[in-house]
Amino acid sequence: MTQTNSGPTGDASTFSVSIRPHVAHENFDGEVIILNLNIGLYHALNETAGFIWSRMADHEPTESIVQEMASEYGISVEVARAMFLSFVGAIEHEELVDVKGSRPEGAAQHEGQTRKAGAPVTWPVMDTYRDMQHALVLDPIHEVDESGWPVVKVQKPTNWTEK
Amino acid sequence: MAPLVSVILPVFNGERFLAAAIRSVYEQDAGPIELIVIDDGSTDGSLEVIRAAAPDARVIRQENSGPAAARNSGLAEARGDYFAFIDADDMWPPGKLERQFGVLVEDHGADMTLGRTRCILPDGTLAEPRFFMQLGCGLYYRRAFERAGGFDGTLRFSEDIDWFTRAREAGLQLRVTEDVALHYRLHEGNLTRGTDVHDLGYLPLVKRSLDRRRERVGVKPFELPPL
Repeated sequence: MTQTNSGPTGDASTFSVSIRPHVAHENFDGEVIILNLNIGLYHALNETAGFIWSRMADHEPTESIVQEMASEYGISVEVARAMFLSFVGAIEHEELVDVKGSRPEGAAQHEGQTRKAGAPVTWPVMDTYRDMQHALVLDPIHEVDESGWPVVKVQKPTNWTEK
Repeated sequence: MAPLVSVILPVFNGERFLAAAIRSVYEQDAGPIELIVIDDGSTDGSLEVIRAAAPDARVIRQENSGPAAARNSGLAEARGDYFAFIDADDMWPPGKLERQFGVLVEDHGADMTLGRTRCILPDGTLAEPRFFMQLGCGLYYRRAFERAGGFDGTLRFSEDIDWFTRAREAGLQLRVTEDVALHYRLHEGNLTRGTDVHDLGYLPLVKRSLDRRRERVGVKPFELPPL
């Protein structure tokens, strides 16, 4: 298991983010589990990360999510945006989403500021597990591709684009 | 005297390939075999095929309950020191049991061993060997099921992956080898089922596994040690 809570930073309003077709996810009473079917890794999100991911999956615009975070957690929009961008960087690093648009410098400092201030909100954290890799990526009860080997598909890929 | 292997074969309307599956079991050369066939409510000629191809098999007939419940019925009847599984449309390659016996005898710490699988493509050719975590390519000590329990009869798909997950959580040791231990047939009857990850139930399976481990080790979420 590894933890990821850092990534590129910048202005969320320039982003477009798409959850990739090979990514399946489900919210279990508040805990979001993400499955990367290409490589068999799965991820568990803490509450803040799940807050962001669930709204992405519902196609909410980035700035709306940032505003909701600021309201929900009682933090500034700037800190909320930094948290949001940090999480986007993490899920991009794990190849769960495609991110388009430039990210300006400067938002990373908000993470440190939040922690030093002892803000009540928890930074978005994603745990990554590799222990079921063979089982989850290579089950043969699927369609076969042109090479004759099975493939897994997610029937309803979720796409999310900044409006 | 060689140890007894209980071979568990569930079938539901699988008359088409069943005789070939049974033949591949009897062609193994690894000592005594106890073939347990669970007819899971078939309405085709599966029972007749069983009686013709495996007159000595122990046959359990039950209302259709799914492969997990059918295999559990087989486990309840199994008397062997080792367990092995085959589905009605698959085949074991010659020498599978003998090779896997050798693996378990040599590796005293292993509770089970899995080999590679070759898919039988619809045109009858064999694909290159790959590793799939599934029941049919394995040989298991009885103790593996005594420790991990049987299959979750509520699952329609992925009951095998669920079992492997619980086996790992129980600390069972697995030895994976390069040899081919299963020919998995792809045909119209199984190509179209469970093609969507949500149908397969992977996500609830992963969530249940996480919760079991969190409860067992008594740690908060996100402090979970890897398996």
